Amino acid sequence: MAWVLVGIGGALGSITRFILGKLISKRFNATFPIGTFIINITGAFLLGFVNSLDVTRSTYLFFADGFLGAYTTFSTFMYEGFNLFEKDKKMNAFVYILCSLFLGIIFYILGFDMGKFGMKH
Amino acid sequence: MKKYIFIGIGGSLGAVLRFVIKAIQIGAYKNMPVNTLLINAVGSFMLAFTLTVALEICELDAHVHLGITTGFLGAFTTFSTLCKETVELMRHGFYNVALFYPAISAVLGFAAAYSGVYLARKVGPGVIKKRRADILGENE
Repeated sequence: MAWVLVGIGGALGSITRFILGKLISKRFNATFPIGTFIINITGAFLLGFVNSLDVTRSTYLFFADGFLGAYTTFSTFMYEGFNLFEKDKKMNAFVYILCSLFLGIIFYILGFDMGKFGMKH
Repeated sequence: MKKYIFIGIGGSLGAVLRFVIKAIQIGAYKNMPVNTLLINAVGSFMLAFTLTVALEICELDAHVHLGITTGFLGAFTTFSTLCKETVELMRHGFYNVALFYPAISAVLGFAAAYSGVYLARKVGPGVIKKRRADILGENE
């Protein structure tokens, strides 16, 4: 049963990533991987938020392991970092990777704190 | 429309595989989430390889390629879990590992992507040549 929840969440997460990624890239400058960046950071934020709440195991499996796990991506992140590096934008690549990781962690904490704040009030 | 089905199926498989692998107890190395690290590294390699093949070597059917890369591998690897695990390490006071873990993920992930692209470029053209030769009967 667990894998059904993870699977469905996963399907929705990847489709959302695809659609949102395309929308964001079209809207902004396409050379910097802004799509994946926003997706990963918002995903980290939401995961922090969910982790602060008292949700059922099923909800967590579906939304955290399933949806958010699939919504965010590490492989695309690395490939895009490599692309920047190869196009002689080595500094951009380094900044992109560093900022993503740093902000991802910060936003996870922010999401978590927001959830805790919301729970108390 | 078909795109979404391929991405969705790939995504569900990727998510489930990640979930299954994460559940395996390897006996974490110094509290480091080795499972996620391996998943992200392997996934990065495969994505870089597949995308390079699709973009530079030979045309893959668009739906299949989306299903494998955006779908399966995109869902298989995860960024949010990495952030969560790093913060948890910090919460438990393992500050050194908390610094090391995302760093090694990035290093291995980048090396994996680099290797994937490199391997595709190295091996790809040779495979295409052989395929053409077979089709044209040159190998008889």
